[in-house]
Amino acid sequence: MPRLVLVLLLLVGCRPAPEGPAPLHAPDAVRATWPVQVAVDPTVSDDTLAGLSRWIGEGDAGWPPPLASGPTPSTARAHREDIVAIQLIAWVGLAATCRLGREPGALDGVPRADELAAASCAAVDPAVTQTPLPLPVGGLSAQLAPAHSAVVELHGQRLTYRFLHPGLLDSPLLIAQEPGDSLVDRVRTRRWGSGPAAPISDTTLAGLEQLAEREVAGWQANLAALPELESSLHGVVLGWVRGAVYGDLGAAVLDSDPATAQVLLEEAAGGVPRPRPGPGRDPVLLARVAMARWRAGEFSRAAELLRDVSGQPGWEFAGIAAEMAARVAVLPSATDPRVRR
Amino acid sequence: MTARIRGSASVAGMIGALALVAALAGHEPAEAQDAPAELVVLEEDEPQTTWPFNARTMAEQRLAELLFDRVFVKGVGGDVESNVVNDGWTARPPNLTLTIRDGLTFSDGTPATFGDLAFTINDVYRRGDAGHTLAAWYARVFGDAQQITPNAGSVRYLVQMPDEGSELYLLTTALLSQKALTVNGRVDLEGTKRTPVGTGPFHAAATIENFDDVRLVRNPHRPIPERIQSKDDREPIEAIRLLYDQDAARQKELMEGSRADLWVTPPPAVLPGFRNQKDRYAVRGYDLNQWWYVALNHEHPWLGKPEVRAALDHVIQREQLVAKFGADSARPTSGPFLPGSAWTPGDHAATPHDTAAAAASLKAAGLTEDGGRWMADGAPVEIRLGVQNDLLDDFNDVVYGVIGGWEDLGFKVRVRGIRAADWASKIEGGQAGADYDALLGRWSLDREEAALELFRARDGDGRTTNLFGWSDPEVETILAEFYGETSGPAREALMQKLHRHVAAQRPYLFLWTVQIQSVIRRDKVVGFRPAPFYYFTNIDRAAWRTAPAE
Repeated sequence: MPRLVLVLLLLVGCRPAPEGPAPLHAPDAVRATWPVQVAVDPTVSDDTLAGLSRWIGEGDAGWPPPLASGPTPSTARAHREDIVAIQLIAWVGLAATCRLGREPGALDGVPRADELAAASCAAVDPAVTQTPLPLPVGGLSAQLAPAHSAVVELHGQRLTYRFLHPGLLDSPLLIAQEPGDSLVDRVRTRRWGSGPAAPISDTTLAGLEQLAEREVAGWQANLAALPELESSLHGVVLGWVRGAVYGDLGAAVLDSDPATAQVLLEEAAGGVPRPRPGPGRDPVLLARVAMARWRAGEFSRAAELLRDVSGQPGWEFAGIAAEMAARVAVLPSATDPRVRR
Repeated sequence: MTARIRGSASVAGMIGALALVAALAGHEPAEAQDAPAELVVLEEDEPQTTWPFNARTMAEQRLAELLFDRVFVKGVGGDVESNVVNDGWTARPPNLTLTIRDGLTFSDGTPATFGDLAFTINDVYRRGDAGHTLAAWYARVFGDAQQITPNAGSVRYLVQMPDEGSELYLLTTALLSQKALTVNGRVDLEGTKRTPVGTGPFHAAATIENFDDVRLVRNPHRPIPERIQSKDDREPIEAIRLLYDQDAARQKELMEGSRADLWVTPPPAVLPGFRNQKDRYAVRGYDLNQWWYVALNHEHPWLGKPEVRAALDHVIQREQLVAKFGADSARPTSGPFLPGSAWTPGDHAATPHDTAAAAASLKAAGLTEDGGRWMADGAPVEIRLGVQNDLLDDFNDVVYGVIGGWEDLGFKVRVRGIRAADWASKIEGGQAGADYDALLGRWSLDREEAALELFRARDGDGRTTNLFGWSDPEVETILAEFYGETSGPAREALMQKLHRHVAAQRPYLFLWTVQIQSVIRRDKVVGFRPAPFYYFTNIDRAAWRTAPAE
């Protein structure tokens, strides 16, 4: 066995993982991966690098409006992912509306609530069939505007009920293309080089965490073997790798195990208490976090995140989803109240 | 050995701390060498009980979650699951018919029966003299008579119940063992609390002698889920050690020194250091509705004046103080419901910092200023402030930030820390007014509706979360309407009205809500997700991470 490989195995501390990708130990293979290309490859243009900030950047800048056009190579991917993010956020909003519609009295007296809640159920529940309501003309902003807004005055309070359009998920403006395989398409994913990401076999949280940490540990060894990569950059690149691994694994189990997905996606978003929109916390990632929280039953936290998203220009519609999710969080409970010190 | 190592601890306590550190460093007695590895958990205040129905603190609630099974739990995605009863329960109002899961066995080896469930509800949860405050709720739901008969297989509700979802009434009911709780023919909660017997994932193999250092081992009668059985790179967690009553500085040392694996509620300010060592630590959200407050005694001669309460509120620099928790961990609150809640009016903001408004309020209340001091009836105004000890230790800068605002205004503040045991017995026992004018603390709620308990007029002499016995007819009217209301919009409007009213009346000064995150040794433990409120609900899915076998 070559000495370098032996050294790398020692550094990693374990033999190659029985599942997941084979560690990319050969330096040439490592050089062909997006983390290394982005970090050191002079052929990657400045424009491309600037566009990648959305996935691997840092700082306080906000998101651009959804489907914004731009000159960089990253625009096509951003466009595609904006669509996915809008669909995820809309799904949460419609699912919340559906849930309220099914709860006796929850939308009592709100004009058009029954009709819109039923249509929302049809949008998110394949078992419910109903002729979809026609979408408004006038482009995406018209479709993302409230389909209906009702003001209800009760007990001296003025309540506003806003509804997302139940046909949003079927909008022809929201058809996402398949992801490509360029460097830009692979950034912040587990598709390190060309070819698909390694398959996942154990989808428990424990199994996914172990897979993730093995991959990160493998990368630690990969980077150490690259003389052209300054050691000061290792931490930065490993941060990208960690975000990519946890983000992809979380997305992989979002449907089947949202509670596990929530843990992984929140890790990808930095493990901070309140991940906000910005560089490195892109629309798809945060929309997935919101979806995972919603589906894991953490309605208030889903609403909080959606409300933060709604503060971004063009993403205001997320506020409608937040309002509905917040209403689900306070539905009547049949349990005794728990107040603890 | 003791684990009491607060900053204010006695010399004996410090010696105990050194002993603890030595033990945790691996210098265990030889006979303990074969014992399974313990998951060392850093907890909050020392529990006073192991019984879930007596839990008054989050630490007690979490301990109970390790020892007992609730009859139903909310699983992933909100579905209701049960480890206690077989699937296929049926509701035929007013009865919910259940069968105890085949083979369900208490940690002492006794088979669990429906008789234990009947005992749990009839003889413990519905009892008014069991030292808990749940009897009224259980009486409302189940009635006063023996509605649940042993071996009958069904529970009968008094309340109007739906055909579906009636199992939700049992989400907070933990299955108890009649045999273990009954001594000489009578229920003995106090005498049995150190030898708890449940069907939960862990149990106390020996009597719990010290409640500041609780050691549990896996319940031998509860199967480990197949998917967490040993694999070549992970092993089930067989033992847990919970360490209570230590200050945050010591807890940080224990985490960093590899002497602890899980820190349940670290102060947010310490988290960046752990977040920066991602290969070693994971930082995970713990969903709690937690808010901090200053409770005020309305019976006090001048705190009874709304203008004085408003003045005290106006000099709290919320925005500045929440920054001390670390970025985005805390947010100011404007009333009993949290920011973003459907019950928090969107136009209702937290009280702004405004010293001029505070001074004007005090003058309007009839107080006079003399050389920078506010006087009432010719004497300087003084506030006797009680603070939960753990907050005083771990959030000293925040607590003194609140106090500083009042002192700068021209009040004298006398501060006293309150030990957990005293808080439970005196403060929640209704004695707060004798020693304190104000109390700084925090509440954690399983859902927002639970906050309503804090504002209800006291009923009887039992323990209460309405600390100074505040009573307000408007609140009582709103609550009566709310509980009789089935319309969602009407309930929402009533709660928004309550939020505004309570915020204006100020039985509490509402400070901020804090987002809790736990620290976990990810290089040692995998598969752990803190469950909302109850925390350890999914502990069965966590495992030790081990090196793959060669």
